[in-house]
Parts: sequence; C-alpha cells; structure tokens
Amino acid sequence: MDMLKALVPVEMTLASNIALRYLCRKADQLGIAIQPIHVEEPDHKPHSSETGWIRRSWESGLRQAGLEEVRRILKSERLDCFVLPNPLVRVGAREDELLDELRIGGHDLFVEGEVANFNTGEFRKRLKSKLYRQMPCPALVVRNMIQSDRAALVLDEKTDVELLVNRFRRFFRDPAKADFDLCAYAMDDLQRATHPDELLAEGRRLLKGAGYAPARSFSLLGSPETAAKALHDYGMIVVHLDRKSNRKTPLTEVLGLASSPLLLCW
Amino acid sequence: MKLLVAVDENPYSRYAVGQAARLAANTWADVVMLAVEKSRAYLDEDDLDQEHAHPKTLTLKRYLADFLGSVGPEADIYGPGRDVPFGRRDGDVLEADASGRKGMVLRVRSGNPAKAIAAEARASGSDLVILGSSQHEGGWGRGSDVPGRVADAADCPVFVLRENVVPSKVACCLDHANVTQESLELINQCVTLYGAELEVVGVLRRGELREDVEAKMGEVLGYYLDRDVRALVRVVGEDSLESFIESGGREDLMALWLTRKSPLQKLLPGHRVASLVNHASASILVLR
Repeated sequence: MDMLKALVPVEMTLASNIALRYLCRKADQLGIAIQPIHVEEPDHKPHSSETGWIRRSWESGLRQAGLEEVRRILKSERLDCFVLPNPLVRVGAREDELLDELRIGGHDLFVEGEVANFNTGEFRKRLKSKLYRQMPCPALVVRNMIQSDRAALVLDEKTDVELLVNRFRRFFRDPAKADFDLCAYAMDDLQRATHPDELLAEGRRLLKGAGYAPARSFSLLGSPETAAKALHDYGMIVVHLDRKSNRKTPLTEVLGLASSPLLLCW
Repeated sequence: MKLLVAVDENPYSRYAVGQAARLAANTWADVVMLAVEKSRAYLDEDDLDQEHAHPKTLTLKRYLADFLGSVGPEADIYGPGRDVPFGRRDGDVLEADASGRKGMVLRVRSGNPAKAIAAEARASGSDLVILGSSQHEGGWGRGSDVPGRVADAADCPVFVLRENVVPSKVACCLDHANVTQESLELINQCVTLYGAELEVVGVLRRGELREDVEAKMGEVLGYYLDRDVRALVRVVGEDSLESFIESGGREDLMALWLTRKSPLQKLLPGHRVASLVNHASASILVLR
C-alpha cells in the first residue's frame, strides 16, 4: 500500500508540537509519511538591498537558520514514526509558501496544529483564509492529543456525502480496521431540505458499497454547544465543507467549538 | 497542607465536608472546620447549656462524624472523633480539638460569615479554604454572596464547590507563567480526586498568547499526557474570559490564578470575582 504524504509545518509552538505528536501516533494507522516544512518569514523592515547577492545571501542565511530550527525541534520531539529525511525550508509569507508547496508537491494531506479558541470566529477566519480556501488537498487541524482511535464521520444537509465517503476511504483504507461512527447533525429535524435520517441512509449506502460499516450511526440534534460536547470523545471528526460558501453554518460552529482533531475535506 | 472547611446548615455544606474529607484522605491534611454564628450580645450563656447557646457546636460535631466517615479506613489519623468539648479561645472563638496524629479542630466564630471565614483562614494559616454553595443563589444567609466574598477576601486559595456535582472537567485558566508548584499540585489533586479531564486554558493578551504562558501550557499538558490523563488545551481572549467562566457547566471546575502579579487580577477586580463565583454554574477554584 502506497504511503500518503502529509505536509506538516514545524514550528516552535505548542500547536505545532501537539500536531506532530498526534500525527506520529496516527501515522501507522493512516499510512502517512510526514514531510516537515518550515517557513521563515522575513520581517517587513526595508533591507539594504532587495535584489542581488546581498539578498541571496540573506535568504540563504535565513534558510539555514530555519533548517537548524526544524532539525532541533524534530530531534527534541523524538518522533517514532516515518519522517521524510529532508525538511523543506522556505523563505517568504507563510500562507503563500505553504500553498505553493501544496500545489507543486503533490501532497495528500496538510496537517497543522491549532489551539482551539473559545471565540469560534477565529476558526471561521481560518476557513476563510487563502490557504484553506485554495489548498488542493484535505486538511487535518489538530487541536488536542485525543487517545481514542474512533472517528466520527459527520454529515449535515450541505455535505456532499459521496465526496466525503471517497475522501474518508483514501485515509482509512482498510475497511476492517476503520473504527468510526456515522453522524448526521442538524439544529433540529424540522423543515430540513434533507432530513438527518435520509443523510444517514445515503451515508450508510455509500459506505456499504465500499465495504465499510460504521460501528454506530445516529442523528445529532441540538445547539452547536450540545453537539460539540456529544462529539467530545472522538479521536477525529471528519467532515466535508463547501468552500464556495462564506456562510457561518451550525456545523462550522460545532467544528469551532470541538476539542477533537478535524479532518476537513473539500 | 492545612484545610479550612467553612460550613453552615445547608446540604451543600455537608457535600463540601464529604469532598474535603476525600482531599484530606489523599493529602493527610490538618483540618479546621469552621461555623459562623450571629453575634448575640443579648444572650446570657449562663442560662443555657452550650448546645442551646451555640447550636453551631452541634452542627460541627455532626459534620465531624460525616467527615470521619468519608475519610474511610484512615480516619484514625484524626483521632477517635468522640464527643469533644468546646471551650473558649481568644475571646469570642469557641474551639474543640479532635486531633489525632493530624490536626482536626472545630471552631465557631461569630459575626459576618465572609469576614469570619477570611479571618480564620489568616489566623490558622490555611493553604486552602473549602466551602459549599448551592446551584442557584441562596444559602449562606446575608444576601447569599458569602462564597464570592470569601474568594475575594481570602489570602489563600479558595475552592467553592457546587452542591452534589462531581466535576468531570477541570479548566485551569493560565494568564501568567509564575504559577506555584503548590497550586499545580492542588490542580493535580482535583484531577486525581474526581478522575476529571484537564483543560489548560491560555488567556490571550491583545489577541496574542504570551511565550512564557504557551511554554507553561505545554509543560502542564505534557505532564498530564505522560501520565495518561486526558488533557486538552484552549485559548480565550481576555475580553471573553468572563463569558468563558460563566459558560462553564455544572460539571466543570474552573481554576483561576489571582495574584498581584496576575493580569487576571486586573481583568477581574474583586467585585467581579465575587460576582463570578456567586453566579457561575461551575465550581470555582481561586488560586493564589
């Protein structure tokens, strides 16, 4: 089975530390090789020269410093999973450089840490960022080290269920080992274009066709706060989001409040 | 460790006594149990027996029996717990010494409950004040704001426990890195005692998490993860902190560090602390 390649920013932050530790624990289960990347962001002060060998030397110095930092971090983490030996180091605006690498590098997954914010607006800001709106692969946002291996595949009325099931299969490739529940979320089940039960039926049908069976499937009705609590114990929440829409939805609120790592598919 | 358990006649106090006993059993703490009675200058004590003149002495004796029952097999460290006589000490204070190898003193003070509890905490050098509180406003008399006023006035940590709730999550709000080892051990005791998960909450200053706070969060998180305790991290903006504390559910325990060095102290002046403690649904642990 081919290994999937995950691009993972390595930084000297708590969020990055949590993401690396979590991913390393999941790497075997998901068949993932970690490609570390570090972006050195130059300050915005004017420099003596914007071109020529002075700039090239300055960038080269930054790159070298970045490489040393990544190696130091990776060494201190003592990761016992497969980390590709050559960390990528780039100089420039973080978002642009990561997006560029995701486009040219053929990565299967982008993984980064995020310390969950009580203000869910911060999560919506992330979803609206250029990086998240344009990245060509799914993103795994790691907020905490959750011990559970059980994932929740969460559907709402805007979910493209077929696309989500296909993405899910790509990461959970062995149906016999995929430990997951299927959940349809709505604030209530009144006047919904698609009733939660219909969503579940469609999800189960598509999964069954691919040889997968959820351990449990259930409707989750209630406020985003209630739903986030109900999903509290899952080791990963897997969802599909429509990136064309800027609208705040109950599901994005649930994701903003959740403590579990989020696999965002588009 | 020196625990001060402040009680009145309400059921939440009985619950607080039970929880204090669990903590004492884990830490072999010296305990002072305090009740506060109204000042009654008109009463001629010579006309009444002690239990009628000072009914709180009877309340304390009952709570002592509850406490020893909750400590379990190791209760003998606090002495036999038989009927102990109350005597006068330092003027207005009534005291009964039921100590064994570890201290167990019952005291009755008179006057304003919040002031009397804070004064007792100072006088007995308490490391932690424990007191119960009802789920809704009420109890403790005098406008029911006693737990909040104690949390504000005491110099040591104060643990306000909501009645009949076993916390399933301990959320500790870190706004600075100078937290004492003793306060971390207190958090540790709560996490262990209740088998609760821990949420380390960093307070953002002007939208940024200070480097030293982030490092401390990582340190605390690593400590618990290494011990297979479920530990989570979260951040909250300073302007949302009160909403965050108020959003805590009945089964949450919110731990806040309030010291002179703590920016939280500036964010939450005394009257706000008192109000938060009195109105929150969660139990509150004020650390210092």
